[in-house]
Parts: sequence; structure tokens; C-alpha cells
Amino acid sequence: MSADAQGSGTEDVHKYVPLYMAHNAKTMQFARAGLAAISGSAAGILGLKNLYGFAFYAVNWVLISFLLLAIKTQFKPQLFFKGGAKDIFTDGFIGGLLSYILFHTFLYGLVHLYQ
Amino acid sequence: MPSGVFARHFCTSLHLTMATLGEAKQMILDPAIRDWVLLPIMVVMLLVGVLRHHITVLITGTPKKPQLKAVRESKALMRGSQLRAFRNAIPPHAFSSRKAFLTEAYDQGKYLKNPNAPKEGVPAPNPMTDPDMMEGMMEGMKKQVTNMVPQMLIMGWINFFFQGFVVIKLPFPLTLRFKSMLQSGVDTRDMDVTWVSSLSWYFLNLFGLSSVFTLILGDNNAAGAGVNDMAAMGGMAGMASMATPGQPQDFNKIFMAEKENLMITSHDWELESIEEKVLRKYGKSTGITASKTPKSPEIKKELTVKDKIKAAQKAKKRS
Repeated sequence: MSADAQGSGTEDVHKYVPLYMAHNAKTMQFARAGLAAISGSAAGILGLKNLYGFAFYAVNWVLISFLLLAIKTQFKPQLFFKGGAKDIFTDGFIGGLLSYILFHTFLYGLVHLYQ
Repeated sequence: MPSGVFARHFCTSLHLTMATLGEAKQMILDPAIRDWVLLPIMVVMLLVGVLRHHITVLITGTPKKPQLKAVRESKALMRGSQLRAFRNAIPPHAFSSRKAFLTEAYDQGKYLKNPNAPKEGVPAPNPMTDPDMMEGMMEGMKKQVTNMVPQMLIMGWINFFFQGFVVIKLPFPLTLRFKSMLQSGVDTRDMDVTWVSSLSWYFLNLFGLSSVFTLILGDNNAAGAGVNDMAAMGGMAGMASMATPGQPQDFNKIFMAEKENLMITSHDWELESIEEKVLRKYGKSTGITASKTPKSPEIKKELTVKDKIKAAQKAKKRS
């Protein structure tokens, strides 16, 4: 029994098929990329400034993560990602933020700066 | 359009702003800057990314077929780890015979690429002499070059043509420290830090476009900047650390380590007490069956494994 408890972390690894894992990660990344571009554009058009822009991103992030959790994984993230729900909520946050800033700045500039 | 026109546009817009900076803090940029600086930089970076992706695909070509012996070597190693992973799914005699076979094979180096090569103590061969290693190194160099050159070119292009343009305003505040970085080439002391120059716009694009590339080129594209690679490495740390190009692996040592791992692996067949496990799973276990769960055999098994290791070490010392 004790051996089981110790080895459970490494033993579970073979239950995940790398190909499927990669596909899941890819699907999530696509959703994330779309989120960054669209929400950044929305924030720019709305003219959000200062911390409101980042707050908008955070809200959208939580929303899309929850949607992924609910629709794509049917509330069973353990089946799709090694890290479970943690993976869904944390992976790619910073990379998405960079894209978000780009689109936010771009659309904000186009709509509110140049007349 | 000659660059002199840009400069005039820029100056007039700046003049306007300086006059009104005091009361309204409103600065209006000339639409020509948008049309001839902001959008071109973004479009060019996007297209260069796409181009780079396709060039990388072309250069990389089809992966070279590995040698038969090399494949056998790595697969033999994989067999050991598979046996360790699925050890409880096979009956004890099957496990022990596999274990015995594999440990012996590892020990004698049956599956080594060149079993007659000198064993430990001899320094690893020069990677330059092995054509396989050369190939791997060249692959890395190619990727590096295709990474670096376009970025340098674009940066030079922007520095040459668009230096000193105030291009856009960031929608969030920054501290004054960023001024020298974001407004390089724009010598105005009083301008807000959030107005950034064309070079900053370039960097914003460099880091931000990776998700756009993901959308248009697919997941494993080669278009993104270094950030993309870094993120990939972070995600697949295991894969990155496994394949260190240019470092010849000493498979003999790895085999020995795998042998050691196999030796200390204990076996606990899952079908051994399956009736009790099933009963317990559905909450039907009785006191009698629960008390009957084997504890002592396991301890005994551990001991035997230890003994085996000790015996092996003794044998090693003797030889």
C-alpha cells in the first residue's frame, strides 16, 4: 500500500497518451489566442484605460477558462490535462497578456487617438 | 512618399500638441503616421513571420532516418521503463522473467549501438567526427539563423526609416524609467511616457503577434519570436531536457541506471487479491476479508529485492 501511495504520481503518467495531450493543449491554445485577440480589440474599441484594461483581460480569462472547463471538459479536467483544472486556469496567461496588450493598444490607437 | 513629408507631418502635429499640452493634454497624431508607419510595421512583421514559417519548413525538410541500431538502443531502454510502468498488470512469473532478461541484456550491453566500444572511463568521442551529431548541430544552427536574421533586418529597417516617430499611445500608465527605452530618438522632456516610438511598437508586435501566428499558421509554427520557443520549452521541459543536441549520450551508463531501476522495482500483481479489491471498491468488504489483505508477503518481497541488490553489488566488487 505504501509503495502505491508513493509511486502514484509517476505511475499515472502512462495513462496519458501524448498525442491526445498535445491535441488538447492545441485546442486550448487556439481558444486562448482567439481570446487574446478578440478581447484586446474589444477593450481597445471600448476605450478602456489604465487598470481597467487589465481587469477586463482578467475577467475574460476567467470566463473563457470556465467555459473551457464546462463545455470542453464537462467539468472533468482530470481526463484531459495532467494538471487538471489548474492547467486550464494558468497555462499561457502571460503569452495571452502580451497579445492582448498589442491588440488593446492597436485598436485603442486607431479608434481613440487618430481622428 | 519621401521621408521628408513624414517629418513635416510629424513636426506640425507635435507643434500643435506642445501648444495645447498645458490645458487639455490632448495630442493628436497625424493620420499619415498611422497609414505610413503604424500599419506598415505591423503588416510587415506579420508577413515576415509567415514567410519565416514557410522558409523554416522548407529548410528543415524531412527528418533523417535514424540508424537501425540506434533505434534498437533507445527502444530497449523504453522497454525497461515500460516494464516498470506496467509492472502490476502482468503476473509475477512474467514480470520476473522479463526483469531477469532485461537486466541481463542491459548488463551485457546486448542492445548497444556498438557493443565493442570501450566501456566507462574513456572520454566521449568528439561530436565533430560523428556525422549524426553534425547533422543535429546544423539543424539547430539553421533554426537560430532563420530566427535571428529577419528580426535584425526589421529592426534595422525601423531604425533607419522610422526613427523618432511617435506612433501610438499605450492605454495604461508607466513609470518614468521607461521613458528612455520607449521614446528612444524622441527628444521631448515633457511628453507623457505612454506615448511610444516606432521601435517600441516593433517590440510590442514582436511579443504580441505570437497568438496571431497560432491562429493563422497552426500550433507548432516557426514564425514567432524567441518568446514562443521559451514558452514551448517551459511547457515541454521533459522533452527539451531529453534531447540535448551535440551531447553524445553514453547509453552504457543509461542502461546501467535502468538496470538498477529495474532491480529495485517491486512487483505487486493487481489480480492477486482482486476479489477483495472489487468488494472493497463497492463497499461490500467484510471484516474477515479485510483482515486477510496480505501485508507480510510484501515486506518479504522488499527484503528479497534488497538482498538481490546486495548480491549484485557484491558480485560487481568481486569482478
